[in-house]
Amino acid sequence: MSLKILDTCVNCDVCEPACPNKAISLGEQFYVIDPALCTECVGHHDEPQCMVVCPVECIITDPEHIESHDQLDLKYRQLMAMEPAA
Amino acid sequence: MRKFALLAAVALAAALTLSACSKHEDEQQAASAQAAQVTRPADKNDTEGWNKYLVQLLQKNLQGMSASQPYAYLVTPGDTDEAKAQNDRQLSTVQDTVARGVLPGNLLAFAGPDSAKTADLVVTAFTGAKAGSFKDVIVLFIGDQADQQRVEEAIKPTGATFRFVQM
Repeated sequence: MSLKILDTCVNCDVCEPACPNKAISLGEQFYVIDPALCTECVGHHDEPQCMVVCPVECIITDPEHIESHDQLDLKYRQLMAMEPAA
Repeated sequence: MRKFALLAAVALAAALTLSACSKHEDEQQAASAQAAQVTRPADKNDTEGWNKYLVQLLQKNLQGMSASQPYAYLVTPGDTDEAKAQNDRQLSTVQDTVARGVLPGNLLAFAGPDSAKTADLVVTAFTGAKAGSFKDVIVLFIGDQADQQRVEEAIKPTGATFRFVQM
């Protein structure tokens, strides 16, 4: 699953820099997660960093975007392949 | 008569039991609410603890906001390169917001473990702000009393409603 930010978000901007995939951005009313970019930190960290740092615990797994660990890992590899070489 | 007395005794016992249960539940709820209260961290570098504590103060001071969400700016303490980068990024975000103006009904909150640093950010970001550009907007500063006045003065020309909360 990718992750989802609930409307209890206080727009504190703590999650955005914590995301290794740059999947988080400020939406119309509060921060949103792009499911195409969210790997739940698979490939980067042991647990989703946005969930770790969120002070209001408003980030949950998104039931509308169910993905297995293998799918998330594949997404991670695809994202890495798309990154421009340093 | 004896039946009536028996029924009355049963009803009284039930009422007392329910009342005791309800009182017990109330006590449990109060205890869990108290347990959920985040206390002010002693260590300035406990970023997660501070963020939770400051956001808790923010959530208690949202009166008058009609927007669905506040905008909280949590200023990172310390002088590490990472903290400087985060604060520069945040200052730039706030400066853009100040230049753009904010719709009435919104609430912007500024807070951080280092009150002086948070105040510096607000004062810098609001320098040169358009007069009246924050009318009916609430600016909440969570910090120390020593920094209250300079933040309030920096906000004043914008017409924002200033609110101070001691952290």
